[in-house]
Amino acid sequence: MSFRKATEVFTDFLEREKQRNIQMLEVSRLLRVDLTFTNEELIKNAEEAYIQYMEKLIVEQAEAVING
Amino acid sequence: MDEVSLVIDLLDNQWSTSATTLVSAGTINVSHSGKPNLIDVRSIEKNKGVRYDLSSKDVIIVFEDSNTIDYPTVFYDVRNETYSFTLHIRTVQDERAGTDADFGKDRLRALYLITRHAIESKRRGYESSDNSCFNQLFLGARSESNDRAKRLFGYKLNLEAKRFAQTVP
Repeated sequence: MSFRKATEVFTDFLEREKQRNIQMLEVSRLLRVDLTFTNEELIKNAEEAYIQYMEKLIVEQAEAVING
Repeated sequence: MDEVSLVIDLLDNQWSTSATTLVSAGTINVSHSGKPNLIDVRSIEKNKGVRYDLSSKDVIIVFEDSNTIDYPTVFYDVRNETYSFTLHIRTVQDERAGTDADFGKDRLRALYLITRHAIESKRRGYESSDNSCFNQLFLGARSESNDRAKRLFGYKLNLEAKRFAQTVP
């Protein structure tokens, strides 16, 4: 995977986390408690999702190589 | 019933049983056994705030992360479905704590243990009242998600659910 593609994938995960945080804001308004994620949490969540994605991708590619 | 709703339905139906079991075993305190708000954020609409118990400052929010499908047979006539979810458990150290400095921490632990018990008790399958089902449920990684400034305690959990041998029409 190229660096550009890897960056795009991470940006997608970060965008997903931002959208989730907007939904958390909506929940927070309803419950009157601030449950939103901090910026650090947003990035951490996106990083974890990215790591899971990459691990899966590496396993799939390794299996493809091994199986010919 | 869609998959996120099914996870929420499972937690909703199993909560009392799991909480009672853990309280009876002395694993958690009865004061921490209350059901949190189980939220599917997609269904939030204006004026639906009344659906939530505003006295409960605990939430479990379910997000679907991914879904993969395999067709494992020669004729591709059945499919196996794998769903991946993220559960955010969040609770607030607020006036409920009184003088208990560990309220939030203990509450979070109880919420996690009850959630884990509910899911593990249905690890070999769960079927809802409308016959939607999962054949397997596995709880995965847990990571902490605390915010001291907001006096917020949280866990982020991964959940994997599977359906096997779904007939392809």
